Amino acid sequence: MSAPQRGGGRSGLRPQLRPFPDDDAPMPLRVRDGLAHMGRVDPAGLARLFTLSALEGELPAQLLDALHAALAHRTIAHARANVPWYRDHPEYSRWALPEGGPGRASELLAGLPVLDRTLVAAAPARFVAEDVALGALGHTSGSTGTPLPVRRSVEEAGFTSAYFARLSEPLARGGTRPISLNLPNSYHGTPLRLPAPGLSLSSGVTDDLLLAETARAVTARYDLPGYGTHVEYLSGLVNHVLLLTGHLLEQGADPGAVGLRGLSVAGGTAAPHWRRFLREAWGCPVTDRFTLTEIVGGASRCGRCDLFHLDPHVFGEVLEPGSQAPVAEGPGRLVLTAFHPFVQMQPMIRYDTGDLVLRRENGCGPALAFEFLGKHGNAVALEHRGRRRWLLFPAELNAVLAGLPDVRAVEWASNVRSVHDRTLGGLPYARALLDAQGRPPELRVEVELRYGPHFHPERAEEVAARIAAHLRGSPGSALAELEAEGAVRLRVACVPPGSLPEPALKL
Amino acid sequence: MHDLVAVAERAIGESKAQLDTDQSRALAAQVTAEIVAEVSAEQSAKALEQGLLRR
Ligand SMILES: [Zn+2]
Repeated sequence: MSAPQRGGGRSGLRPQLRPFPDDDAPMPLRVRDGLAHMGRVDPAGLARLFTLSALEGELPAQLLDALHAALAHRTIAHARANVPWYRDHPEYSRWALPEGGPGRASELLAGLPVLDRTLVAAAPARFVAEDVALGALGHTSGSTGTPLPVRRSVEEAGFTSAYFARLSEPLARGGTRPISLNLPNSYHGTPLRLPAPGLSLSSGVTDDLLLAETARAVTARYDLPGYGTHVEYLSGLVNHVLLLTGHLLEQGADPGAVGLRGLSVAGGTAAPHWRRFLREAWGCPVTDRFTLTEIVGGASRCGRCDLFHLDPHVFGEVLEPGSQAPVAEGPGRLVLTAFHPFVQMQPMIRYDTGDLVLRRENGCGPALAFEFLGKHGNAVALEHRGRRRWLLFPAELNAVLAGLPDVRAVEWASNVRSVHDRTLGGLPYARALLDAQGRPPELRVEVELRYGPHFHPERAEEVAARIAAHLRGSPGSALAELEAEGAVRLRVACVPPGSLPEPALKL
Repeated sequence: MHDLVAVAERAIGESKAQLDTDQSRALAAQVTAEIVAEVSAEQSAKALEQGLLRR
């Protein structure tokens, strides 16, 4: 076979002299080297290859690794030729595809620097590609500091549009295209324009007029030639979908009667109680999406194993905080790479998302499987005998609080007067602090109730006990073990309304 | 690209390679939700603009 070569020329992606390896090479290697060295990538062909790689079996899994390797080659070749930051760092020019064999998928990008938001935000212009035209400007939410500008090119918008159009083709069954309703995310600047598979209706829930229109649109019957007769897919920010669902139920309407085929929520952590409530109310599968503005794509919670699986076109690694050591199983920081041509103007190679995840090797499909644990900066850890031991993950605390009606939640939709319970989708009032000076150190978790705990002391004790039991049993946490050793003490305190500051936007 | 797709299809097997299986439909539905989210944000921004102009 031909040795993979570095891309030449300014684009870095010129076709090579011998683009294909020998015909008798294994299929994954032939696809890897062919795709790595071809000229322009056809979005429909790539969509077809990724669909094949999502099938069950060893060979599709090898195909997925091959696609990742080929796209990594294209991404790095493009970045070092066209993006100042990558051009100036020698690690990228030294990188090459493994020769003669596929190499280990987990080591594909090993040795390359890991970027984080602070680094990119300090000099965003140095991460901008010179070979494409600006099409849209978005930004991150700024939940962990200054929002990071996200530039998207005309070229990548065209590519992703064609790619996703091809992926969603099977949804037009028997010539009938589905109607979908979306409660859009308007919090990240200009969105990427992508095609809907059928008719896409758009509405919102953030004022009374919009909410009434949404309730009408989702329950209406339609007579539109070529389309279904009712809304089949509903998607939106998780707090928006929850508020809409609560509103319909308050009004005596049955969301289950709409006949949804799928509900998708994004933009925040959907606690197990929230997902269960939505699934039961609408009577359809709920897809929980984990997404980032910086990366086109993310992860979906799996209907089989209930963990997140990365989208096939995104490359993910779980690394130890503070080092580049990979984590095979257990908690670590999630590092993502967005591949060319999905992301072209602001390439993110080994980008630390700032999120902690619990990686699991559960044998469910080839894609990285993980549970979201919350922002790295909001987790609590203790240095114990020279090792970092995790005590509390924000998403685990949220998971138990979301199931307890006693806990006060943010009335995030306080201006929507037609809804009576305006806390659906609001995060709980709670905080966790570690007093490392105590003997032993004390992990204090304060939880604000909707009532004064002095008024219902027995119930408040029950609530505290349930929270403590959940935290001690959280996978990946060493809390129970260290408590048994006497190395730390957990104290859960229920406090009256008005005691705690409003929770941050994200966990 | 056509050659590569053909190589992969042949290796994985024609019958498994059917695009319109339940699995690919499920994959499409998941991806679709996000597409819809993105495209509609654009449309709703436009609608809002028009609504403001009418007022
Ligand atoms: Zn799974």
